[in-house]
Amino acid sequence: MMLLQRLQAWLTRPTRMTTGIRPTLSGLGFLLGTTLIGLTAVDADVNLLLMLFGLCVGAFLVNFLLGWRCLRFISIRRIAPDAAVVGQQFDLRYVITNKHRWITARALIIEDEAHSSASIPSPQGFITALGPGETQTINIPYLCDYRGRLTFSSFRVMSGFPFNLLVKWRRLIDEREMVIYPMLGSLRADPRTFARALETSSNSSNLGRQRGEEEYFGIREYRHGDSLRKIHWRRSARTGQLMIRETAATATQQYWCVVDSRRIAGDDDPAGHLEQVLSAAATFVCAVLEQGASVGLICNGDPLVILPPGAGRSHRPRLLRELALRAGEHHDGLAPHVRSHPWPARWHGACFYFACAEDDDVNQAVAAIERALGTVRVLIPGARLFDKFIRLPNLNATSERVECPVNAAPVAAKAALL
Amino acid sequence: MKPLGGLHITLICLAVLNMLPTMEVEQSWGLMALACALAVGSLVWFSRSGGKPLPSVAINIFVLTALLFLLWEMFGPHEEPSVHIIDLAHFVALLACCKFYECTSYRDAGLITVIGFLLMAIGALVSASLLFAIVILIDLTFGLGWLIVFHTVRMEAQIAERQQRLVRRTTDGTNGHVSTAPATVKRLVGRGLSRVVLVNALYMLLIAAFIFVLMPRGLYGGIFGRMHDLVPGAMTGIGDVVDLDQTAIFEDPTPVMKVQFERGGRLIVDESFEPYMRAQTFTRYYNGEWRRTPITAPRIVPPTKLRRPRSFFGRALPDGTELITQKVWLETRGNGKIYALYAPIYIGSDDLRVVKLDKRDFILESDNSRGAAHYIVQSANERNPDLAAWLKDYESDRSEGESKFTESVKRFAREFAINVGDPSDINQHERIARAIEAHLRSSEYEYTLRMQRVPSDRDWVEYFLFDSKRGHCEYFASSMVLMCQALDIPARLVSGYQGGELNVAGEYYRFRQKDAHAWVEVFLPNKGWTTFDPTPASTVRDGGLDNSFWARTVRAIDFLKFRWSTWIVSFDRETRKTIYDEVRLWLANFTQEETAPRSFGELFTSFFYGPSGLTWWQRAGYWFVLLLFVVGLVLLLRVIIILSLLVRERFGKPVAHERVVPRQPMARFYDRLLVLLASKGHVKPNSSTPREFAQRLAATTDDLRDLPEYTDWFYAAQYGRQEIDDRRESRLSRFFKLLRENAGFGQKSRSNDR
Repeated sequence: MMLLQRLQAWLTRPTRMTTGIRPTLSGLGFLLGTTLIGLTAVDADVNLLLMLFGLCVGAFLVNFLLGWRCLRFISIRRIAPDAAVVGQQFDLRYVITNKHRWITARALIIEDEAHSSASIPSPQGFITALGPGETQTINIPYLCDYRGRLTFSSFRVMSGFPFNLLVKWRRLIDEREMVIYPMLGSLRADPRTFARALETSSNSSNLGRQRGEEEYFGIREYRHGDSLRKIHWRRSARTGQLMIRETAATATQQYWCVVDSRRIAGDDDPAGHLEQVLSAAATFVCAVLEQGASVGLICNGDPLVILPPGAGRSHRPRLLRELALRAGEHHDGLAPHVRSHPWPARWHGACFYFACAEDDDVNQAVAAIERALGTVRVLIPGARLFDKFIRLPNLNATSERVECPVNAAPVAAKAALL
Repeated sequence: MKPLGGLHITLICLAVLNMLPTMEVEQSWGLMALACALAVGSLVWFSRSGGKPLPSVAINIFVLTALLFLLWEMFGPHEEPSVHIIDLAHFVALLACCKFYECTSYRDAGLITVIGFLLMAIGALVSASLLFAIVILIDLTFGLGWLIVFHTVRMEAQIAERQQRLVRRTTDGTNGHVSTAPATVKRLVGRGLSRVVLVNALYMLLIAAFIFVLMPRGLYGGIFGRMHDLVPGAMTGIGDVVDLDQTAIFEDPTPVMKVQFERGGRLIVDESFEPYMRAQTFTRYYNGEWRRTPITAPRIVPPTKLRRPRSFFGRALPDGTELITQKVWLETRGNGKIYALYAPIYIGSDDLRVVKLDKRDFILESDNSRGAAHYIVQSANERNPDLAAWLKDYESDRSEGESKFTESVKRFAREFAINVGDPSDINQHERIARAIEAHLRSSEYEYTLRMQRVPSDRDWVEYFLFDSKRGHCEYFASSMVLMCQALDIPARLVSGYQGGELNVAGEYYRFRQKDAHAWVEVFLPNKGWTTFDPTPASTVRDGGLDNSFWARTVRAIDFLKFRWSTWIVSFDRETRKTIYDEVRLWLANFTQEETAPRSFGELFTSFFYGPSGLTWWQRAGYWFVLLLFVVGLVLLLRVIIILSLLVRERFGKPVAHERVVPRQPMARFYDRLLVLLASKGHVKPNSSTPREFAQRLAATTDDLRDLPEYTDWFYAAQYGRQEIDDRRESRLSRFFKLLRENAGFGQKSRSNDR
């Protein structure tokens, strides 16, 4: 028994074969038909049927024999972007070369083996014929439905030539990792206006003004709650109503994107809300970076991330990468981390707090952040303010949405923790 | 698939072509014409409808009609017994025709291909003609090319469709049908497709040849064997009536049969040899007709293997009896006549299951009336006096009544005999018969096929003898028989084929319909029934061999048909054994002391040159077989190598590859470390290794003095695949926390830069 178990374990152990062959469905049907013809031929002793049987066997053997040499001399180079966005098509480019000196490779299927915890279709391309020494480039449009890591481990060059009864394949190791960013939407409101409204309506201290970093923005009518110090008396006298001198922060505006990726008790759709939160955060980050502002990122979870504010296009992938690799399977509140972290004064700015749902921990974290960084606007999926601020693509359209692959295996989770 | 594209039209042509062998078995040319018309009609339909298939209602009606036709063929009233497998083939062919009208996708095309393949398999079961070989040849060239192009285009379309689905692009609403650009076909054809097809076809033929020769035979008798019995043999023949009122006799070149004659174990290839293949005998003449009473001969079941007969109707053959063996391949269907030289005393066949042998006039007949048939007959040499005397015991006058002839003919016969001999003396019968034969062969009578109309009040033979003196073989033979019978000399008219056309390469005689002939057999006391041929034209072959291009082409085709029949269709266990024996005999030369080669060079030369005594074409064949053998060995070796590689891949140890090792999950902490260090201003240059980078930072920054140790852990996890234990994990966590939360911890300073 033990021996049998060992044998079974040995036979089924994971191996990474570099060459292989498998019958296709039509090949199995053909094999069945050939067997029947052979049996009939032997039984009935009909020579012509026997000859037909021989031809069928010949076709099968020819399919088995031909094509190996072509596969051996194929080399492939992948040209892929470092990152992509969920739901947005991108091109994977493959440069395929036939290094054989005199054999033409035919009917080649190029499959790039994509790995993740979810079963995702691997991109496939087809080459009709590749002459000796010839190089062809093919573009394969591809689209990902999930965020996280997308790993391409190897190419599989397959050929069913000539009759597609058997598919021979060869694996070429070429590993590459892409990060798929969360789905991006668009902002309905200008974040500067949103933040200014936040400042003016919340009666909080204007940190920018305190630092003398304000500049004239315009004149508008007085609204309840505006500071009386900003009344433009001359214009008020001229127009007959109170006018306010509106100021704004200088070009170096600074925001914080706070993402609470916790699973909150009572949330009916934690995975869906987390994706919305991350998409909204990514959309916000991209929008404000496009406007030239500085953005910092605070994310709880595994691990806690605090990226100081930065600007420019080079900062964008760093932030999006952190959002893309965020896991939601934790209950780590944000408030203790905020309280214990030292916050330099130059990091102060308007904060946008994205959370799946509202609870006490969220309120505590908001209070802590307000004390440390500045005013906070809480954005929760489904809330009126969230919809007013951000428009996300319909997530339900991508029905094959899967969990983030970083949580796929315990080992991966442990590694992510580090 | 693009309707009316090259692939579509080629597919329909190939499908119609594959119907041919099964249609040919029962000469169902009407059905074949219908299939062709339906195929053309489908193309017309697609061109008119803009590529739309026929409505499904019409297709269903088509299928229903085909089903009704099948039932009628199987159970309807027919003159001949129904052969169900051929009926099924007709039904399948009609189904293919129905499918022509809705061939718009690759699936439909694949279905039609499968139907064509099925028809070909049925054809292989029931057909034995060269037509099957021609169809196979076309399938192996054009068909193979079509199949390769079809599979390639289909695969490309499938992958394109899959990618389209993947990126959420909807198809063009054609239910998943993706039209393929003709550029793919052009790319394929332009890349030496013909060479690929040729190589594939040669490989397939080679493997088929090996299997054909090596497969065991003679194991039949099961379910398919019974099915095989349903497929009858067929024969050709001459009618039961010889009517002299035939004015439309013409030279019909339709082949009837091929015969190989063998005497004493050697083939007869001699132009002076004049075979008379007998079919029928007639004794009673009445009003211009020779009509034969159906025989009530006993039926025999011919064995499948040829043996030398030891007895004949229970009596032992006389010693020294020389037999002429005839291997006969009948080609066209007929009415059950079996041809043989005089006197057939043994018959064996695979195809003829029941044969009647009339021992009085040695006529063979069979009940079967379909398809081609092969049989072997052994006849006694009639010139052997001992055997003739032995055979005489079996022969007697027929009791079918006397012929009715005119007084003028009787008078003419008697007057003619006065100057030759006494007819009442049986010993003078031969002389009288020879004289009559010579008289009719004289220049007084002329052989012609252009007959004059005989007055209604005159007898045909009488008119021929006294007035016209022009006629064909039946007139000459009838005149002689009647003259003999008028003198009370037993005589009969024999119909069959005479002469034939010798094919020197194939060492066989080809008999055509134009070789049909009538001659005379006279009963001589000491010799039995002896052949006389009073027809002048029959004594000379028509101008010898015709060497015109057309005649040579026809002979070449005949030769191919003959070889197809003898080498392929009739190949059996005995033939294989003969081949084995010859090969073994030849190989034995290499081991026997007297004939063994003395050196390797001599051995190689002997092996390469082949057996001595071969003709040039036999030697070319030997070299071809040798080449096939070598190629076969190479293929076999290649199969073994590939299989062993696959087995090693599957069951062997995983092969270590020279490649970039991907980031192991446990080593991903290093990426996080680099990010945190970068946030402190320590960006790792690509030019330095992790260890160099760690050592440089440890040397310049006190906070990072443990960095080399962490880097070693990274190496162990990444390349040694070691786990990070809890102790290390907690240390790393603390270190990361310091980097994250302590703004001054590990901060890059200006002094560090320096």
